[in-house]
Amino acid sequence: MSDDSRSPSLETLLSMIGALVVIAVLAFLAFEAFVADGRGPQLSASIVRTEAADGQHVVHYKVHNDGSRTAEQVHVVGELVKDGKALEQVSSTIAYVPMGSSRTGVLVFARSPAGAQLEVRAVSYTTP
Amino acid sequence: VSILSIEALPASIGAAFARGQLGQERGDRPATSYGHELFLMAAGAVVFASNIAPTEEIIVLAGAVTAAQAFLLVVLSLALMHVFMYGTGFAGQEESSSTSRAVLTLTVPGYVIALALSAFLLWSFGRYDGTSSYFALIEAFVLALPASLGAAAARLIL
Repeated sequence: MSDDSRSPSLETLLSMIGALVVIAVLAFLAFEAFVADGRGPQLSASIVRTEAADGQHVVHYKVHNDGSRTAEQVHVVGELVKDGKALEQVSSTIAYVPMGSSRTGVLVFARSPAGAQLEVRAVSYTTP
Repeated sequence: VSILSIEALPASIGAAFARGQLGQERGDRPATSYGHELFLMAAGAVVFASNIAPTEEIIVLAGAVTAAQAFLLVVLSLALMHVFMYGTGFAGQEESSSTSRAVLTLTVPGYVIALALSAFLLWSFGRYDGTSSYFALIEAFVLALPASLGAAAARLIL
């Protein structure tokens, strides 16, 4: 193959764009490596909505990770509390909640959360 | 139907690979143009990346990678890609006029194509739902390593 069969302007253009992207990527990562604070996962769980289905009460929750590490095997516990007594406890596990990201899940209760206090917490995780 | 159409993606490109390898008209094929070469690299990147993008491993690895390691990962991807295309003595290899020119015209655009396709595949497999942009980038860098090797391999084989 001779160089004549190529389009030099296209090559130059794509080389420039490619080089710019690679330099930008490397600069960004170098910057991130420099400012990395090494904070562990910071999990917070919240209730998105509650609905009744087939005599069961489905609670959709969201876990957000504000830290700069990924949390694995996040264990989420939902508890129905009435007059200081736990009526029912349901738990679920989310495989991964990456840094700065949210994951959703569902807890199914047999009792209605109406009239009771519903609490959802992320109680444990492992770090990769 | 959705599973079928996703599976058809690597299968169809695999069929194209087989045709390129086993087809009869290989001898009188015209000299490849620059755009064609980049297209082949994109196809190779898709074959490798689409098999890996739906797996959990990308999240596991991206979760364990720090920014400094991701920096090295990008450099390693570029280096492996270049060595694969020019350092080895394979048949599809091209004698390059100068190393720096080859890096700029093929390796670097090829890597950017592989990176962009990695990000696109991760997005289409739902890996970016509820995910921060920083983690999405790290996931793309992790997937871009096999994708860039696939791109380099396709450049050699097809």
